[in-house]
Amino acid sequence: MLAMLALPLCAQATPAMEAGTKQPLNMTAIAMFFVFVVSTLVITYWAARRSRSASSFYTAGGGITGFQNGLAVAGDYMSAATLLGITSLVYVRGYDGFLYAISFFLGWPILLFLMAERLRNLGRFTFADIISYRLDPTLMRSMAAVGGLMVVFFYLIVQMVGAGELIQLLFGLEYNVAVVVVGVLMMVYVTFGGMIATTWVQIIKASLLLLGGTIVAFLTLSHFDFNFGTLAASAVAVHKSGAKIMGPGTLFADPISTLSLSLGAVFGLLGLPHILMRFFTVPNAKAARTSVFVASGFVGYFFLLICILGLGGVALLGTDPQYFVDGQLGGKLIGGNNMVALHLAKATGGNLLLGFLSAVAFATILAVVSGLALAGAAAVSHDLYANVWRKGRTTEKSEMRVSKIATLCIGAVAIGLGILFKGQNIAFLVALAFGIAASSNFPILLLSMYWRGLTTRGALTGGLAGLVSSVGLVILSPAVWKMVLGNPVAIFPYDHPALFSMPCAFLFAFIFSKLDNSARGNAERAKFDAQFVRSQTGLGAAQASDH
Amino acid sequence: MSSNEVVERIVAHPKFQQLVRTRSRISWSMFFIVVTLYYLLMGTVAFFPEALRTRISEDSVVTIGWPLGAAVIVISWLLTGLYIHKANTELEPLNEAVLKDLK
Repeated sequence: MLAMLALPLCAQATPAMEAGTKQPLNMTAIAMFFVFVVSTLVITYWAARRSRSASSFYTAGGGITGFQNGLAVAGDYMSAATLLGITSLVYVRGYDGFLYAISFFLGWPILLFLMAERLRNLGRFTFADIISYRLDPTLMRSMAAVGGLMVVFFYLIVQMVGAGELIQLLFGLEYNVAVVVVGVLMMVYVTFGGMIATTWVQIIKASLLLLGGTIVAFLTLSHFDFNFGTLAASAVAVHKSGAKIMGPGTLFADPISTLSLSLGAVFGLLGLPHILMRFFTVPNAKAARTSVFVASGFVGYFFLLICILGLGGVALLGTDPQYFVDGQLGGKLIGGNNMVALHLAKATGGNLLLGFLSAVAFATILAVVSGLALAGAAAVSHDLYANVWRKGRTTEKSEMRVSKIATLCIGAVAIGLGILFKGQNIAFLVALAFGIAASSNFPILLLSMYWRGLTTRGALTGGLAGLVSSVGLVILSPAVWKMVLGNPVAIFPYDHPALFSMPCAFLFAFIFSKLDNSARGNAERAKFDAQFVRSQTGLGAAQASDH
Repeated sequence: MSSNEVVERIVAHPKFQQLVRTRSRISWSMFFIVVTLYYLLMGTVAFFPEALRTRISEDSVVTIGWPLGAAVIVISWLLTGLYIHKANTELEPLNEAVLKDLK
């Protein structure tokens, strides 16, 4: 999600950066961010003493409550790119931005109806646990780890580049310094504090983000007698498209493109490894349900707030020359369109609120990359090392050591990629991460839980078909074929592949499972009952450890 | 009792079958409601955009698109609440009954 939403962020922040609009050091923001870092490091120190076992490292020992996990998982979803990117989209396109927010909300209820309870009952540390329950563990874990790690890395690049640009803009720090700071802090949180620290960092940040958004929206509405109609009327009076911003525009006019984007947004959520992993941190299926209820409440509320911020930006900033380059009203916003939320904070609450919201944006990036790094580390140590390479013949201690080494490597690679991709057009990475999540991770996970007929052969072919088709279609899409490779016309006309790659995965998985008459295939079908009973009743599910 | 026998016994248990039927009825019907609401909205955007540009009243610039969009978010969230309520009151007792009969 955050990655997808970073699309407008990156697309628009880059030219501003090239123009060299570095801000002076913002001391309020830095002081507040410093307080956040110190308090989260204290939490990490506390968590480190409780993160001695694999279960506490990967899943906080299953001891997170439904409400806490709901806030944390909402935090995973509400990134700086969400706050800045969607606000900017509503600022520029009005109602289309709102439709975008709705599309990215919808995955939440569906996650609850189709998956949340089963995830908790079947999984232990990674979503590959579920796929490999009755299918060949070596092949399935390898495939799930590759799919999961690709999503994690594409996501991380987008976050790191966004972080570098945003922090340079907000705090006046050098791009490379900002990327290194984010990478190093992430490594500290995850290696020392594991899931316990990552969860608490996420909870604190989500609360701050909700608080900050609420304050800015409240102050914005106070300028309009707390009347949405008055706010909208002022926005219409200022916006250059006038009353058109109140209705659907061009963004969702093409049904095929809309369908493909929406399938990627909705089902991509159900295949994001760091989101799925959060369901293993709660004690039982009941708490897993509560998590989604809480998370969707906060995410939905936040998205509605953001629409107020976007329209407020039009109405309040649009008439004030100090927010525009060279004071040209209706021209370019200082720092680019992604600065709408932050300019609005300054306009409604002065430098103190600007500093607070900037610090929250930085904290948000840190929390999100930490969650990603932990999911990546779990795929390397639990899936690839302990189960594929050592075939389960390893000690908890050495698996833990590998996971910490993996975190450090992921952090180092993320810093390297963040610096490498500086100023690049990376919008396609977003479609790629979501395409893979929706077309490879999600179909196999869903079929393994719901369809008795799925066999290893079908799951492997289906997963690979989804992976290859989503990556292939993104390469042929306008974002890569035209924008990156410089060809005149894209071979595949849509930016999001899910409408084509997701059915492709389901179809291959279905056909190759049906054709599979091997003894192994039959044995796997026979084991479905045991898996089904556990997914429904929780009998034999991993228990919360006493931490 | 081997684990295979446990599984066979549960699968054959009438309350387990009732649990599976109830859960699948609740979750798929809510899934279809949410998906239908959303694609009705997006379908209107794609094929009848003018309908969403209708103003909510003569003296307001706000179109009916805004309350309808907000309704999609709010209704689907309320449905998650309803799902939890039904799961806790209808599914959990069945589940507990199945597990109790094993002992």
